[in-house]
Amino acid sequence: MNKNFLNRRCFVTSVTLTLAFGSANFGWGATAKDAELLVGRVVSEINAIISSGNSEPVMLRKFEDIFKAHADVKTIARYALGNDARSMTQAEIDDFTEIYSVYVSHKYGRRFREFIGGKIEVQKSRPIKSFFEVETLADIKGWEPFTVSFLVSNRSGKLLFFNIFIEGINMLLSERTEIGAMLDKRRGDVKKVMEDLENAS
Amino acid sequence: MKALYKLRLYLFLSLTFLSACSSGFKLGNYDDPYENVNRKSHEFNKVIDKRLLKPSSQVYAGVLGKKPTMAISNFSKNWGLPKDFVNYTLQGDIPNVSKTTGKFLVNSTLGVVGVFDVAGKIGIHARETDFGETLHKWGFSEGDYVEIIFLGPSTERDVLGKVADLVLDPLAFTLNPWQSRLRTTANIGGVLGNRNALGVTIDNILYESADSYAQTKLAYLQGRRFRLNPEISEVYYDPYEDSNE
Repeated sequence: MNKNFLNRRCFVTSVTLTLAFGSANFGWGATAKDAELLVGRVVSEINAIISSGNSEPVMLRKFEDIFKAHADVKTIARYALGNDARSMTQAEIDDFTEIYSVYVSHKYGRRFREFIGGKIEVQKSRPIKSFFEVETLADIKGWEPFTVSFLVSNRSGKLLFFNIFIEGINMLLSERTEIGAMLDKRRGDVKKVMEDLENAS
Repeated sequence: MKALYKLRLYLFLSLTFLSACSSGFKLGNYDDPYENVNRKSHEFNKVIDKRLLKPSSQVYAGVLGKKPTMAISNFSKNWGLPKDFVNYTLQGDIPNVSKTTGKFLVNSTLGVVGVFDVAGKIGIHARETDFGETLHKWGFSEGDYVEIIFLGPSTERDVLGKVADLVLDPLAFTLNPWQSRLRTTANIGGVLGNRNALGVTIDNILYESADSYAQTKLAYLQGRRFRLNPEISEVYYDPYEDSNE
């Protein structure tokens, strides 16, 4: 118990410190190093959640917090809607974004929860086009270590991640396909899709 | 032995045919000319999973528990290593040839016929390979996406690879019937163990998505391309450039 407490305090302090130092850079154009720091924070928070021994609902809520704090939820939600967003009002898009970010963070949170007993570590980063790719390695008991990559950009005005690749399988594309299929099934009715997403979260 | 030569001849012929239609990488390409047939096989495979694979994997993991399932998976993987060895040799991949050899020697001896992954513990990680990857290394394109009953998602190239692996496996012709049966049983255990360990992800794709066929195809093609070519496996969408694309 005591050890856990110390770890948590140490963890919180280091996160606060990195945040403080990291944020000083944002106005000046981010570097691959900044992107690495951001993903380092994200994966250490994920590691803390999966080793916490908390119940699934608690873990999912924490994954949601990470997602809302460090992911560009607006861009991610907008991408999932694709062309269908054109016929939506801004208020509808905002509603969708809120519901979608809960849905997608819980969905991926459940996958990360399968990593219990393992941990994720940042390996390397590189610039691509206008953004950065940060590669991490997930070392989970019983599996060969595998790659989880994050794409990071500051185009939203803040350094945030906007895509995750688990062994090459990327969230943006899978979710655009999924939301597209849901819209097709419900004849383009975004309200119905939002209801279903809320139920699925 | 005669049958073996026949199979090898078939393999050679199909390779020659395949080379005629190879056309490099298919980055970011998810075209699906066989979609109609594939969707039918997909529905069939889903029923098999729901009725047979998923429930038996749960019973299997539940009854045996973690350590025995792990031991069976290790054993199954170990006796698949000679096939990996042949493929890495054909690929001319010397580092992986030696890792595979090292892993096989260590686990077959210290790891008690492969039941324990001692090699992994001392840092020898040999990734698995197959003849589909060998074909890829030789410059063959993946062909079109196919989903095949009982086998699941694949590509034309990888199906050919699976067939070829049956012939290329040195143990296929050297094990006695009793050993062969033991290995097959362990392989089935390995499949059940994997199905159980990936439970949430597979259930999510098959039973919780709006279009499980599309999700299966995306996951397979992206995963496979990444495995064969991690550096350039996907077109990187920039949602800040083309949010309407």
